[in-house]
Amino acid sequence: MQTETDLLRVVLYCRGNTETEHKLLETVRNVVPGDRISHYQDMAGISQTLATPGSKILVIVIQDSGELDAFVRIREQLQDRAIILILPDDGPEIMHRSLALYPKYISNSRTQFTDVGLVLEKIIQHRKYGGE
Amino acid sequence: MKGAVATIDAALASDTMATGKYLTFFLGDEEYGIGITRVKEIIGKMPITPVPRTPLFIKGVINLRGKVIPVIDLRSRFDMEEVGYTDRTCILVVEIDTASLSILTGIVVDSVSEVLSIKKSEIEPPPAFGETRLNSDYILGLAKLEDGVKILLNVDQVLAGQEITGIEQAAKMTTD
Repeated sequence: MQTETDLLRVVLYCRGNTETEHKLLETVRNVVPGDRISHYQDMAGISQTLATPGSKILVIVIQDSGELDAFVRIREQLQDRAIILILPDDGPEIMHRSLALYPKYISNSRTQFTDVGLVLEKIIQHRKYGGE
Repeated sequence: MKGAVATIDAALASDTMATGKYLTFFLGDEEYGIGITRVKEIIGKMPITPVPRTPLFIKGVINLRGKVIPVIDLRSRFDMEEVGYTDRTCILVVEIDTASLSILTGIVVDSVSEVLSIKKSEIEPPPAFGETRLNSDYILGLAKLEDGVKILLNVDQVLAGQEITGIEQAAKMTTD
């Protein structure tokens, strides 16, 4: 019988067809089978999937403050989700605003995302062995 | 890279914060909190005398009943857009502990909000950070309250070592 952890999905949000998106998708696929990954490029899509039941880990790439504001507006839908946030490396102001989403981990879009892969693995392990 | 995993371990463990009273204040749209025991006084805006050869975020010094104390601008420290001071602008006089001494320092904030009792259960640990210039050393935790998130600051960590030296110099230059 499948448990909720077995059904855990990773929801990836990254707007646009960018190198960041390809690198990140590859990183996530190295940790989670492709059929457990939902990939969205628009707010409507991710908002719809958040409304459906099931355990989800979110990996969100924020490209500018407008995009961050859009997520802050739907923060109730993000409550109690494990969130990995990837921010533009623009300084503390956008980081402080992003804390309203209660991310577990913050990285920046100029990296190779090796850290994101490790953290994702850790969060999945934590969920399997008695975490949230 | 092991650092990312070590720090996420800490962020996943959620019982490191203590119940306490926090003075909350605004910088832009965000609300921050400082442990009330660190706040010595709240004063309205007053003339700040610039001190040459100090970092940009050090606005200068004020004379507080005969005692000269350095004043830092938290907006400037956090790379936020500079705004003009208003009637709601305040200076929080706080005690910053350095390795060698305690420095009374003024912190300019947009406005003071209230004193809140925040329970341990309402405080989330700060997120872990990866390869970024940003860090969360100065964030004590995130108070998850009904009216939104408040960023609780560790006032001793808000300034890096070399910045503390700048403040110490500013304080010294005015007392010499």
